[in-house]
Amino acid sequence: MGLLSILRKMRQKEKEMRLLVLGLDNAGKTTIIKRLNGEDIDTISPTLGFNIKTLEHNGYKLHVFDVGGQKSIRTYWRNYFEQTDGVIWVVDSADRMRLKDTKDELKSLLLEERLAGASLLVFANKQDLPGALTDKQIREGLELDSIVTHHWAIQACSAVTGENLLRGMDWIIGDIASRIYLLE
Amino acid sequence: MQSKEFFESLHILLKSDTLSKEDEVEQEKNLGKAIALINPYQEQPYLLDPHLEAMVKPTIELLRSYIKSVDAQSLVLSKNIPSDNIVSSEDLIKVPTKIQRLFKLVYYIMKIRGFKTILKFFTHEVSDLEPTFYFLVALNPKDFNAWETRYVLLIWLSLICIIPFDLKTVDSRASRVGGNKFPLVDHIIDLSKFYLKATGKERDAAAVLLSRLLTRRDIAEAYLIDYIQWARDEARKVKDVFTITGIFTSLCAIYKLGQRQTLLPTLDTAWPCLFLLEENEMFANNTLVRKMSVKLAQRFGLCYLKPKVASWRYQRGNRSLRDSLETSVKTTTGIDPLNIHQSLKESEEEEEEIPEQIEEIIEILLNGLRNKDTIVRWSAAKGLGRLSQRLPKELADDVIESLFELFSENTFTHNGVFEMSAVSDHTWHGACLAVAELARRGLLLPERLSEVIPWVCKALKFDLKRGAHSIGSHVRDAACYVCWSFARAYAPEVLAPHVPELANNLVVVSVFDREVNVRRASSAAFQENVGRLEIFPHGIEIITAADYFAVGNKVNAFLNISTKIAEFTEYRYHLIDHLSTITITNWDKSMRELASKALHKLTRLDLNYMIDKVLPLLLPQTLSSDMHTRHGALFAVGEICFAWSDIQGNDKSWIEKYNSLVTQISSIIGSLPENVFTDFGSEVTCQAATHFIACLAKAGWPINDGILKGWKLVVYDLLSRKDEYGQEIAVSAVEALINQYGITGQEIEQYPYTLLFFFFKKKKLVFLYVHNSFNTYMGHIHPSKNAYARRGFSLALGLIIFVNDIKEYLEPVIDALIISATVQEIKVWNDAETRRNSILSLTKIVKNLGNDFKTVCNERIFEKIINAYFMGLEDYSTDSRGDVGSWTREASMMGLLEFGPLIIRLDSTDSTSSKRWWTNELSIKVFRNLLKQSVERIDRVRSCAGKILLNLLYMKKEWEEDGWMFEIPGRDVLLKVLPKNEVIYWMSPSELYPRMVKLLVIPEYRFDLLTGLVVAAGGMTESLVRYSSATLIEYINALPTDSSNVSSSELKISLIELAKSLLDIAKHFEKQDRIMIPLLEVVDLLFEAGTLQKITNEDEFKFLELFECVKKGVTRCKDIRKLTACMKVFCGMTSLSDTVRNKALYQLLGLLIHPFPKIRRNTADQLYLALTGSVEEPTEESLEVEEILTNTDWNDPIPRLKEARNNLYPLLGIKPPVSKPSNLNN
Repeated sequence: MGLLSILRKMRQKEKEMRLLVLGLDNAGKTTIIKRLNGEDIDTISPTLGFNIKTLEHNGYKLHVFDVGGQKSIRTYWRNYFEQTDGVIWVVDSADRMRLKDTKDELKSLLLEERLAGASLLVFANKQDLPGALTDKQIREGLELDSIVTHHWAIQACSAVTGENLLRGMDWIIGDIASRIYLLE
Repeated sequence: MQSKEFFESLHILLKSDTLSKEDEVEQEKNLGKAIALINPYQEQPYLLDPHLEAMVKPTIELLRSYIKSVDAQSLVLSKNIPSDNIVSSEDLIKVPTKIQRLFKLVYYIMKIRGFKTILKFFTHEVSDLEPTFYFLVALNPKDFNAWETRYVLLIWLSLICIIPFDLKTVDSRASRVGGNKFPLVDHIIDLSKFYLKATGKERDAAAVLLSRLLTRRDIAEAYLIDYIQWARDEARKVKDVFTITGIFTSLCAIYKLGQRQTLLPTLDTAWPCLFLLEENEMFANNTLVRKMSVKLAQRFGLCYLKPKVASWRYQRGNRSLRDSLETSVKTTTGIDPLNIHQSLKESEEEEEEIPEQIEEIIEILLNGLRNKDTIVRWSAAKGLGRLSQRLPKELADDVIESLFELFSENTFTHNGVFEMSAVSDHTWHGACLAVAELARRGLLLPERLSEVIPWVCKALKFDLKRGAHSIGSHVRDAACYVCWSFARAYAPEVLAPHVPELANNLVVVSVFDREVNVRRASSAAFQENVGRLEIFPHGIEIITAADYFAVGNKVNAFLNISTKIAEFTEYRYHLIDHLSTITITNWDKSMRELASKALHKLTRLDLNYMIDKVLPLLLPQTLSSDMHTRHGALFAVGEICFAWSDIQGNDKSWIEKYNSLVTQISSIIGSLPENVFTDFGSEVTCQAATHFIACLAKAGWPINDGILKGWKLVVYDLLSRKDEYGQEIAVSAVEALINQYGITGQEIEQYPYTLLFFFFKKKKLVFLYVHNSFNTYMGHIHPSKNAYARRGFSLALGLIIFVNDIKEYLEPVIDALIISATVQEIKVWNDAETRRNSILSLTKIVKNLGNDFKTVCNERIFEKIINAYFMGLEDYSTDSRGDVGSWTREASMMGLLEFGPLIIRLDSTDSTSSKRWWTNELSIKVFRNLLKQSVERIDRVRSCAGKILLNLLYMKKEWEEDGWMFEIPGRDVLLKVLPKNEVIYWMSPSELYPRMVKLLVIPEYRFDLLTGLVVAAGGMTESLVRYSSATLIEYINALPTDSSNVSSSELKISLIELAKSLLDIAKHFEKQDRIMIPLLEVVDLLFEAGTLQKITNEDEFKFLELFECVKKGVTRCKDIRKLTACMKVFCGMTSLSDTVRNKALYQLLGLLIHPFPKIRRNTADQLYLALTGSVEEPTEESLEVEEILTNTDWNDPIPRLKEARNNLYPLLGIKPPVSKPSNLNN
């Protein structure tokens, strides 16, 4: 195995990213993924378990793990943490009641060693609903500014209308791509 | 890919349920086809990615519904399998072949793309877990036809088992057991443990499943420590390599996947696993186990240490270089910048307790770097990289310190020279890999660079002599990896001080390394540096010149790319120095020669540097005691001097200016000790010295006669050696010497003298058979042994330029060449190469004389030469190598191509002599011969003849409008059969022969062409004979019997005419079996096809004459092939008129008691066939004849056969021979 075979392998792997989509139940995680993948979003039932999707974006191959957000499932999230390049945290902006819940879950998530160094994108979803919190409010609610261990960004969006989803994806892919890749 | 085809096969495989036997076979074929379609993707499997979903999903869906339909669970549980042994010993279910085929297909897709990618398309629902698992349980683990099924199931389970639910709720039996144990999990673990010991692929899959299952948090709590304990104890106990591999694989996977906090408490239990190899020699000798052990050490180490994030990963640019280059200008409307946070808090070095075990682990890894197996070193290097990333700075620096120790191990300084001949290439390779891994992660602190770079530069040129070759290309490759990772890890300003050293070394390796992969690796490393740092001088220009493809070809890299790069002074001198100090001592001769050629080219760039620095360095090396160095230095000095004089052109002042250097160079050959030309392995030095002389001669080196004489001795010596490559060098040296310093008549007399045994008496050639006075140079070598000298000197004679007083030697030289081109009667004197070389030399002389030919030579010489060519075309001599005469024939044809047009041209311009030398007869003869060669047996000869034939056919007189060069009969037919605008595949018999037989209509060429065709038809090569004989027979068969009803306006040929030609050939080549045997075989085929029988008028074609020819062939013949052929022709003749028939029968009856039993048997068989074929109604006699022929055992001794044979005479209606029975009876 010489340098050339290392390079060949790297050239392939460099173009692949592993993303984890998490958030409370009913935040709209699966809807976002389906919307991004151009699938029908009319009949989406709660994710019991997890989905794996492979998307192409900007020449990168994204392996997306979408895990259900029910309380009973959350303890099993860590089954999926290995080698994660980025985490997409989806928030239901209209669900003011559980804003604290989602903050706490996110906080404990970011303590996880295996996610160290992963980029974090927060989607403030469901902006199409009346009474949805703004991205600024969510940012404060989640205390994002206290996060110094990860690169993060927040983007208001709506999975139903598709609004701003791509902006968020562009950012997280760009951020992951802008760091040098170590072949692990 | 041919996705359509694949999906067709897949569709068929998925469809159709109940199958008949034939369908089964068909389906197997389909599977094979599908696998064959994806197999080519093994090298670049990601190309399959767009199709994967469509390939895997439907298959998995079908398998899944099948599995669910089986309900293996109740089947297994009803068997009441004891909980401690859930492995079934028999097939509880009969899996349909269709399902097995689909599992097989999935396995192959996994094999090609990797299971992790394929797994994404598998189903993973709660309801999948139990059916899938129990289905696996129900399979017989010993069924070796279904291991793919078991492998896929285990891998599948590894996905299903990570469902985010409490497995207790999934387990349908859990409620009945209680506690925190889960019966299902127990079962899965037990089964996995069983498969962990498998010898096949299931082992790997079981390890994956175990690691996934056991690192679930809920399972880990209850099971992990138990498993680790089991694994440790088992590992200590077992003695078989498969089990230990399985256990290690599972442990490595577990410690990779698991959460650190969960794993930490188990480490103490697992710790002894690291030291198993020390106790067990069998494991220690197994590469895979050793690698696993090193990997496990790394995983343990990573568990002890907390991960850290390196913020520099962001500072040092992009994942992919191309991306950053392309997108840097792109402005995107992205997220509101206010909503982005893109800085990392540098995690301050907290005082962390480093467990003492880390030290031991690092030691294991450092030792792994010097392991004899590459994969172990690799694993160790990666481990060190990952581990150091989590270590505090000081400790990481200690690791680096230890790496330097590895480099300096076994090196020493001897007389001020750094000596590394005793180092281990393994250690250096491992150390390089580790440095690269550390550098890539930014762990090699900039302060350390100045220490590490000298080692890296040494590693870039690492080359240890071992016997007749050297080792170390893997070290050089790894050093390229180091340089490549520098580019990724460091900011330009950090590397800046080291750029000249790095750039120069990388460039040199890119163009001058012996191995293509190292040149490419170096080029890749250089490219990465240029791209990321932008401070390598002339980076872009060099990347363009020395890219991946360009450096692939060694000659191109040495001669073209290197000169391009050397245009830049920053690189020039390092390139020159590397060639003149390192490459010229390389063990590979072709490397040294290339180096000298490259130096020649580089001399143009800076002559003074070569004169002042390089030559003084090289000159002492020409006298080195090391053969390789001597050779390399002689080559290099020669080439530099040649370039030197070339650059100076007509200005000869340099000779004065550098007088002492010039003299020193002239005297090198004289200073070489004599034994270097005579010892074992002296060819190398001889070649080098001769090449050196050739270069100096081309350079017009000023020398005195003494030196010239010495040089010639060296050159002539090599010219007489066996070594063919050396002879080529010597020939070019002779040419250079003659061109530069001329040649004397006396020397010429010496040339042919060694050529054969002749010598000159008063400038007249005298041929000697034996002569005692062979006491001059080379004379003592007996002609039977000096074939090599003759080969060399016959070539040398062609190089003489006949000017001034040398002119009078022209005719004797030509005579000498012709004699040496002649096939000698004394066999030992014959040498095919000499004959070929002599013909080549004749052509060379003709070419050199060119337009002066007619003024220098008279018609007699012309005739001698042209006849020599025709003689060469008849050279069919063979030896152990086969038809070696073909070389001479080829050389002769090429000679004719030169000679014919030259003479015709001179004839036309020569107004003084009225007579033309070239006649139309000659033209016909040339074409006749070329046609004959163009249907020859050997592909190469046909192709050579064909090309020359076309060339001459379409050659025009340039001094006449529309005049053909050769005036030949039958041109119309030739032009039609061999059209100019069509490609004719001379090599391919199937295409060529049907074309060529059409030319038989031209009477002038018929004899020769037919001879060629006949010989080809009787050849040995199956494909050739098939087409040549079939074509010929078919053609002849279709001919009209006689020409009376053929209109005379067109060229036509009748069967009778063709038969006459065959008879002519038979008469002409009566004594030459080479032609006679194929001819007889063709005649036999013609009888068999009934073609010859069509000739009824025996006045027009005399079969009797043919009979006589064949009869002569039988006489005293001992060649079974020929005898058989003759016998068959006789059989054919039994269907002719009585006179011939009876004569043939006499012969056949004679052959029935031939001394060779095989001939007797065959004759009986053939005669039987011939007689039964020709007799319409069986008579009593004919039945009796048949009876005798079939019922006699012709293997019996001859006396016993005679009676039976004699009975045949009256039965066949012929009188028995009276006076003396034919001599065959004896």
